Amino acid sequence: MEHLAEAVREIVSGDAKAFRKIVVATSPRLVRLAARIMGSVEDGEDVVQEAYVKAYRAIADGRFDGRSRLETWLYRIVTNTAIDALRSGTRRPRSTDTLPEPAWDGAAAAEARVALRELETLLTELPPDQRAAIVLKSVEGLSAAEIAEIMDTSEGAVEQRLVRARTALKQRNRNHD
Amino acid sequence: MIEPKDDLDLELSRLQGATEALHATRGFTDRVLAAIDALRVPEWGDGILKFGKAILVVAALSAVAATVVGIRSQRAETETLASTYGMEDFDW
Repeated sequence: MEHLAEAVREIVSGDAKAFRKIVVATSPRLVRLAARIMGSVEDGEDVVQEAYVKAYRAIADGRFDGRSRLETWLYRIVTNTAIDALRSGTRRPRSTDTLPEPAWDGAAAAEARVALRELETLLTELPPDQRAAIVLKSVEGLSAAEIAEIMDTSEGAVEQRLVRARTALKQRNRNHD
Repeated sequence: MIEPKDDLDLELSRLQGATEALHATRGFTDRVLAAIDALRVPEWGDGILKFGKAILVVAALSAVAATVVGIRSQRAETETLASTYGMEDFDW
């Protein structure tokens, strides 16, 4: 990922167009992460776009110090932006409500959207921080230490959120059985 | 020790695999870059505004300096005239 470090240097020296390299390289994973936390691709895109704007400002102002990897740093911004969006309730109406279905983009993507709705239904009652923690752990496959770095908290706090989230989800499943 | 997976783990694991094919809608990268460009327009505006303010400050300082220099040269000229007048008066 040396080309991303080079892109950061180019942006700092005033070449804003170098940001495209960062977006092209990182957006597939970030949009998937945000969609999983938010429960829809459209909300995920809104979150990632806002996160990229924050990231661009920070890089251009020289506030990205490179202590953590660019990808980890972007993961952190996206996760926290998603949690803020969930807390503030700034989410688009679901496609089943008012918006038309997204354009056909293949059977695999359509099936993935169906699965995303299932994930959204499963996680819908969790508070935003627990929801993000369980997605990062059980869906993204990150360790508690990585999640702690992303959520800017301790590993103990992450474990606590995960235990609470799992307890709530198991209780929910028992109630539905 | 590997913990056995319970129903919740299995469900989340299934949803993880089933959502791997998720991707951004067409044109997402262009929309992001347009948002970045929109951000840069105010930056240019701010730059012009700052430049204009700097020019105003320099102009104001120049005006003050010119006034001071003008007053000093006026005084010097008056003193020269006065001293000359005095000398002429003395000679005369």
